Amino acid sequence: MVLLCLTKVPIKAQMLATTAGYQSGIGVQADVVIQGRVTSGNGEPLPGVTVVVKGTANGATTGADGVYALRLPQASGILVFSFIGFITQEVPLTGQTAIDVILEEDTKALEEVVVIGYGTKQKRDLTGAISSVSANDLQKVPASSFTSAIEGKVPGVHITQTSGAPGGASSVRIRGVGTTGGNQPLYVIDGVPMGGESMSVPGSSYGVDPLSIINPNDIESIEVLKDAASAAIYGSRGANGVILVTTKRGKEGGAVVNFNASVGFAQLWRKPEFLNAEEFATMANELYTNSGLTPNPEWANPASFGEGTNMVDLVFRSAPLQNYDVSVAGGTKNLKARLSLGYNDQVGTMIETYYKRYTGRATVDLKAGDKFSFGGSLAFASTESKGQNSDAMQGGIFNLAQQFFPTLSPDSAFFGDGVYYTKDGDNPILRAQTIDNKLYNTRVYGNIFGEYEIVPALKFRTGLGIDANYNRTYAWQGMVQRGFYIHPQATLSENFDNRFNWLIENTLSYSKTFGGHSIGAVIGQTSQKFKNNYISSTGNGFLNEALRVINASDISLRSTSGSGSNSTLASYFGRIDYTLNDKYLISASLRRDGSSNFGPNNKWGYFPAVSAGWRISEEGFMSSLNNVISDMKIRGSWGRVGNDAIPAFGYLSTIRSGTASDNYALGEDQSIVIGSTMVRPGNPDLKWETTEQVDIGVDASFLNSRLYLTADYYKKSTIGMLISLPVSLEAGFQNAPTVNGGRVENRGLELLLGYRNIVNGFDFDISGNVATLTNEVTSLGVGQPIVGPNLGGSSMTMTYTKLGQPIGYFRGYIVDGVYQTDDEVNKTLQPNAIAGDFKYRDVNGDGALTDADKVKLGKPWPDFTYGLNLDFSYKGFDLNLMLQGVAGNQIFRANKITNYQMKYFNGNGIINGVKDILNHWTPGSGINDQPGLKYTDANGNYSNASSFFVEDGDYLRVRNLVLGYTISPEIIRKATANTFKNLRVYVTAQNLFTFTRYSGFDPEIGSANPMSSGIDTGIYPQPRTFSGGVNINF
Amino acid sequence: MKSFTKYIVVFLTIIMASCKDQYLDLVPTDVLTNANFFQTESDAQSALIGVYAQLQPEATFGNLIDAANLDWTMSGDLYEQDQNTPRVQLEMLSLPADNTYTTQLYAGLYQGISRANSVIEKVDQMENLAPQVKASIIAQAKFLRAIYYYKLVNYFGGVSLVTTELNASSKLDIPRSSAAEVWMQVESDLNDAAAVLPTAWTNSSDVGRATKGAALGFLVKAYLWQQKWAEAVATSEQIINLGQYDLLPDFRSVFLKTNENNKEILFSTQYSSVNNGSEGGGLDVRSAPRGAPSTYIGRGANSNFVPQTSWINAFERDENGKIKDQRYWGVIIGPGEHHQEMTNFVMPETFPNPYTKTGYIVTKYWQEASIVGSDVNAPILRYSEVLLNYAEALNEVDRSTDAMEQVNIVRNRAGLDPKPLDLTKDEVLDAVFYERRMEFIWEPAGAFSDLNRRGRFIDFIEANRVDYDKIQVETKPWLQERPILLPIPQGAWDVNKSLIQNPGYPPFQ
Repeated sequence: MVLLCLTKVPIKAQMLATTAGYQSGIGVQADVVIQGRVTSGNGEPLPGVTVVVKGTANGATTGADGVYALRLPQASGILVFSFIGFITQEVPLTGQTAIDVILEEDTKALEEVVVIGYGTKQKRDLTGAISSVSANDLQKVPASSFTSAIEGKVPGVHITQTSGAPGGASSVRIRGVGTTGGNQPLYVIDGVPMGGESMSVPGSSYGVDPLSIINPNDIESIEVLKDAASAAIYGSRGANGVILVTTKRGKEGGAVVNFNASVGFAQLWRKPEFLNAEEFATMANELYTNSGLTPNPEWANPASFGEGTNMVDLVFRSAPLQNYDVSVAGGTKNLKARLSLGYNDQVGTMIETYYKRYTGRATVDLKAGDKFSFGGSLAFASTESKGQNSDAMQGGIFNLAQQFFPTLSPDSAFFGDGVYYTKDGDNPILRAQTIDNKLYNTRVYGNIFGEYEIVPALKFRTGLGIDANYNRTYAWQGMVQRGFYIHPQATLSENFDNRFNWLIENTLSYSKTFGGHSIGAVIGQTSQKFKNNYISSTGNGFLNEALRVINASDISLRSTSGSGSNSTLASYFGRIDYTLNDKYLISASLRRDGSSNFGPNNKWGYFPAVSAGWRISEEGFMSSLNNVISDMKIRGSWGRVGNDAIPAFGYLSTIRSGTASDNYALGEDQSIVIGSTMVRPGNPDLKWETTEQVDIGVDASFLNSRLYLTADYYKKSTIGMLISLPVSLEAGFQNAPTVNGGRVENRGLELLLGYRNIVNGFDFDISGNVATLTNEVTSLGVGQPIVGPNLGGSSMTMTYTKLGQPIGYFRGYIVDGVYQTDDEVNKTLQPNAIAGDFKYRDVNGDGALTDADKVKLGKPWPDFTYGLNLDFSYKGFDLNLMLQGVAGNQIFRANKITNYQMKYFNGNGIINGVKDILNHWTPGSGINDQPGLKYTDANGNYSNASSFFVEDGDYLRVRNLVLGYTISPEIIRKATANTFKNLRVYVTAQNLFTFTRYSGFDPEIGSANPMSSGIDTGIYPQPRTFSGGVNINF
Repeated sequence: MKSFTKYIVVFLTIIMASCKDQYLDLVPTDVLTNANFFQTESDAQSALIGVYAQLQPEATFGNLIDAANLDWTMSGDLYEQDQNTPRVQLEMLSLPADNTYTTQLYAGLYQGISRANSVIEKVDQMENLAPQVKASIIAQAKFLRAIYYYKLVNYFGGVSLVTTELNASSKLDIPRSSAAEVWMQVESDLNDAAAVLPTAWTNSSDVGRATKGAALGFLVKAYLWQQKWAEAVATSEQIINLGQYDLLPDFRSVFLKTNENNKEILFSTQYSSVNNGSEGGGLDVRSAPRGAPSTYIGRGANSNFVPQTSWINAFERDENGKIKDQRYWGVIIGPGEHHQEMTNFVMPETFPNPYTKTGYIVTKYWQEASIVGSDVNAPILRYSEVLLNYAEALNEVDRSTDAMEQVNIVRNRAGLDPKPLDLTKDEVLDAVFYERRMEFIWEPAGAFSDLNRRGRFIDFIEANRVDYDKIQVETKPWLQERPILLPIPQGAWDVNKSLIQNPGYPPFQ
């Protein structure tokens, strides 16, 4: 009784009432049993119908005969009967104890509302390709970033983690990659487009996910706008797709307190096996002997070393993680609010790494009279990340660990004769301990809006948004001389980077239904300004290393730098939606964008889109199939969107002053003179990339909406792809000008198919999705293929972008095995080869090994991405299993250069390698897949890109497994004297199993740069995590 | 309806307010643009400094890629002790077109040319500069453009000739010109520069800039390449007659950071360790012994290149077998010997060790433990080279006696006895090349480039390199060419298909 009246009293009174009810409720227990039978319209019993008392968690489900029984403290309130595919029915309790109900089938099961750009729409009215992920789905994946919750869920969205570091960024690609440049989607949080700039911990090249600033538990829904028609309302920023994030807000009703806590641990799911000390010494001796060099006398007796030190084991650990958050939400008719706070703490699996995050969010919605309403939100996130360089093939902790000699003790420095000991070696544990690199990020963002209903159906809305993003990096390294590794003085570098943007938005929207016509329209204007500046300071030579602030450094050895920039965007947009008789849907939109980044020749761009849908299931001729087909819609869309990720002021020739490569020393005292150089010649015709996309899709559901399906075919063409012109070296430009050069086509099919039902209280929802992708460069305006970047310290270029091939495909020689004898060597092809070297194929048969013999060896883009999602719940238990996989892509395992060669790839000495080296070629062995061990690689086995490095990258991952149990609300209320309304406990595992043939450490190789995607340089591997948690509602 | 109108008005007002054109017309706040640069003298001077700045990279005039990776390692007097693959490719003269160092050299030099072209073109168009300022800036830029091209034609033969500022819409696939055309450009720029540049800069803050002597010095080198002997003689005499230069009595003091830009230096790349070494060099790190205590090597050391024993053995010795040549004692230390300044550092007697594979270390540039970029300049053109160039040219115009007098000036400073003046023409040439070899280790002169210029390179390595047989000269068609040219980098052809590979190498395809 108390609960029922709660909704009508203001919050303060409500709290008092709850307390009062709680006190008076003690020991008062006069239970009533209510029972009955639920049937469908044709009289069949309905099993699995949920029956609850409204506003409580008190409930039951019907059995196979449709019968339910419910024990209640009072026979008052409202009973709610709900079942998938049927219209929910409410029956007030007025003292009766037997209630039979007939549920009507719901022919419009898809009443779900979906957020779209500048508005919302009912899902059934959608004419574009939009995928939705709900709060419920997000909650199942206790991840620190919402991107990992979408992974495997939305067909056509391919997400790869770029690093296993806690808080590490993901690369998100919607419907393939259409450009060699910026290819990440636009994120819009509560209507405010956010910068997604990836921040890095100093010294590490992996980004910290800027979008992990949102606690996933604060998210109400995520919408992915995949087709151009849906994204075109975001104009010049929509080409890579748009992800709309809507956060939770207060709802009318009593204050609900929600508390979540989870703890767990992370560990590597797979550890590469490296040679032990005995094997290492044996291999090393062979290597030197093969090359006519004297083996190291230290290793003369390999057997004496035994296992030795396993450094890879020592730099990884089982790492604890914990997450807590609490929220309060509630409100009255006129004032609703929600507050939340969260804390996330993850220790990295690699030593000396961690991630901590504090989040908070407040939202309020206020209704002032009939016509005015206001609202807003304010959120902050504060993160602290400690990182280590992990992914370069040189110098990173992970790589130093792989390369460390197992013959050495774990605490030893790395030093010895340069033929044996590479000068780039070091003890990774000591290295990690003497480096303290951190990133502190504080982000405050929010928005405020007011809405006025001018006349019924016509609303004016104005909004302001801000996003203030402060990054401070801290990089300390003490004075070290440890073997070859010298850091001659302590150094501290601090950088403060400040980014701020504001947004103004005004829209006028109209929505009216009359007769069979339904019209919706919105026009609006928005402006956004971005400001960016940084200042950094470096101090050297510290008197006392305990004092680690710039002030404690040698005053003559301090330096500072700083700069700043800004940009603006102005836009106008409009959209009109028209529906006739709920059957024929049409929508058109147009956006006009102007940007300060665009030159005077192309200041403004227009981005139009049209889409249409036909709800064929509403047609009379389909009525005979109503039993089978619950809903079916065919839709098609066309649109143009832009990608403005061009360098700021790329239309101007820019001149840089004062950096080390501009300055010179002159004079008797050799003082520094400031120089200026042209950084990049301007291109006055530079404009945004245009992406044109056609999408044809079907949304359908069958058998009372139990079986559901969404299928799409799309063709997406990027026209005028922004590329850094491959400029001839003779032009001598420092940076190449950006031009609108190429054309790329992505096309594919996406299918989502699911089945949900409730059988005997066993509630399940099984869905699978698959997406195909074909990526092809259909024109390169500049004519020349684009050669991908080469790997640090090696001259090997691995990717190539050219006409008729996917962006950034792998290219190199085909290895036809290993020359078994010197006589076998074709000296005209490979003058420097000897027995044990790779035999490269002369593809064009011209008797010479040339660039023309380098062929496509693979591509980083999967042909298929797929996911399988299984949800079960039964009597308080819930189980979620999510599998995700990719197929048809390849990985360029560049770290074979370090893992297999033993000889240090970029200098002197040798390094340890993987156990697989034991299978290397030796004379007479007949081994054909691994070259012989040598100190000098004259044939370039390890410096030519070849098929040796390319492997299939298919994998299937058990991404997520959750088992939860919700303790019966009755029991929990009784046990906690009505304090807790709901209590769920769960255990979860992420990355539990991975099935792959890939021989590297992890097949999930992400990179935001399409020209270096799929290249495994030995990144921080993905962990497997186990955790358990509790979710309590008060 | 009234309020409706009111809100529409407000709405439109906001739209108007936020979309004035200047809202979108920003100018960059972090960089200058072609619209607001080349306005004042300080812009012009600063752009000129940018051209000088391109001397500093290892790939251009840092005496690293040219002097160490290429010249002295190819001739075999420096040993590349890391066996780093791209360096071994050069050492073993296998010279693939995708060698990373030759690519860096090529690209780095063209970056210098591009910077120079901008200055020459843009400063010439400036109307508010004093004529003598304008002339001086352009003369310095022309000198720098000439030496960037000198290095290109020296290694690659005829290369693409770019003499104007290019932009994004320029035709960028520029075909190669002939070597003669490039030499003509080099001569013309150097003549223009020599006509304007001062003999010495009067203002002490200008020391280190290009001078008339530097321009004439490179002109002589250009004449020698083209075998224009009479011009080489005349221009050498012009330099000597400037009265600006002399050999220092002590060989080591030529290189010391405390004595930079001395009377023996015509041109050197300037480095400075002030401001945390941001304009410092790295030659010290390259040459100092790897793994030695930080007290001696500061921020670390690589000993990438160490002197070969065959070169050590070429020094003249006294009756006790002790090396007589002061050039050894000035810039080399061997087993058991003390560093010239850091006398507590003694080279170990036993080898191998990480310090050096041959037992010797060059101390020309390793003068102290530097914890930031080194102050030590990279000598590009010294007076002793002027004398030896003069000697070479004199010999070719049949003034062998005069030639030997020049050689003996150089020998005298090294503490060696004069050679007889009545040698044959061939003997004089041998004498010139011997002095070059002992004088310029790890400098741009004296090794591959000079030997190659006279077609002496293959004979030299056959006589001096212990690993000569391993090189298999006869299997390498590019080594049969005269002069031997480096391959045009694959990376250049990848984007400029109009390039044609040098003879002897597999053609581009």
